[in-house]
Amino acid sequence: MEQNNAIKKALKARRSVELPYGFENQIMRQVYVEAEKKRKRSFFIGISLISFVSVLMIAATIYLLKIYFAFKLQIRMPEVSVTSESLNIFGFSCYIALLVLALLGLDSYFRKLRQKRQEKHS
Amino acid sequence: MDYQLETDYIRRILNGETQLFSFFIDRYSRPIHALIIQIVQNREDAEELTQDTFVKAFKKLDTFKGDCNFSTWLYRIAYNTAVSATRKKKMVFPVLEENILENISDETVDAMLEKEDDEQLLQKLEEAIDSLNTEEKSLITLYYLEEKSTAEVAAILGLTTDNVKVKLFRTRKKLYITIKDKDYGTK
Repeated sequence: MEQNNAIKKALKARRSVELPYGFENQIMRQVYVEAEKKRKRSFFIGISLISFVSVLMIAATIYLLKIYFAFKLQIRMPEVSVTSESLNIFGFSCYIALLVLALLGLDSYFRKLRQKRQEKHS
Repeated sequence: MDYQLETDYIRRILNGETQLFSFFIDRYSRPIHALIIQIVQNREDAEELTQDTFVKAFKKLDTFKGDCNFSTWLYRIAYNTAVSATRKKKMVFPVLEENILENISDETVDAMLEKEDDEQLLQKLEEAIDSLNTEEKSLITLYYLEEKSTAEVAAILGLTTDNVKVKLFRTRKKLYITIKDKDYGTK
């Protein structure tokens, strides 16, 4: 194929417009936006997939237990009987719990106090 | 070497190193813009389409199989983007009859197009290029300006190598006829 230099020169003259300053950065900004969109899309697809598989597994488990194995799901609550002895233990437990809470509160208060003093000194 | 480097960069970009895409923008934004501006002939449109080309390339990077050069793949995206834009604008190009083209010898055309120092000819040639259709403009831009091989041009434009050669000959004849017509018109 012949090299027609006149065509090359004419084409070069037609292309006299150069890209503006910062054009590459402009494209890169758009690329970053697209990358973020891509990342969000793949995250959403991943979450959807996990959710779908989880629901499927739960449904399969329920089906197997309830229909295939004819399993009857029952939750029995134990009967609660309150005696004077248990009331004493309950009162003592409450006393200990309140004591622990009060001590933790005081500890936190003094720590903050010390921290403020240290900040003032520094 | 270049092919290996580009393949490595593509792999790393797909693994999350998005900033490496700037390597391709630095390397190809100018030639891609040069091709698009020849097709759309408008500065703002060319800039927008160049940007679109790179964003599309980034979006579809995972579909790049590596069966051709990255530049060929990128040029193909740029060409298709520019062609779509010209279709939307419904640009009309003059059509020359087949028998007129056949009556001109290649030697006559070459003799005229080798006068690279003739300023008048260059100006007429610039105007004649305007009358070419999108494919013809892309063809001569890629072959003469970007100095791509006929095989690469064929891969970018989705043609066969023989078809590219034939179309190059026809485009040169078309340029010759357009210039000659203008000469007669002015005389």
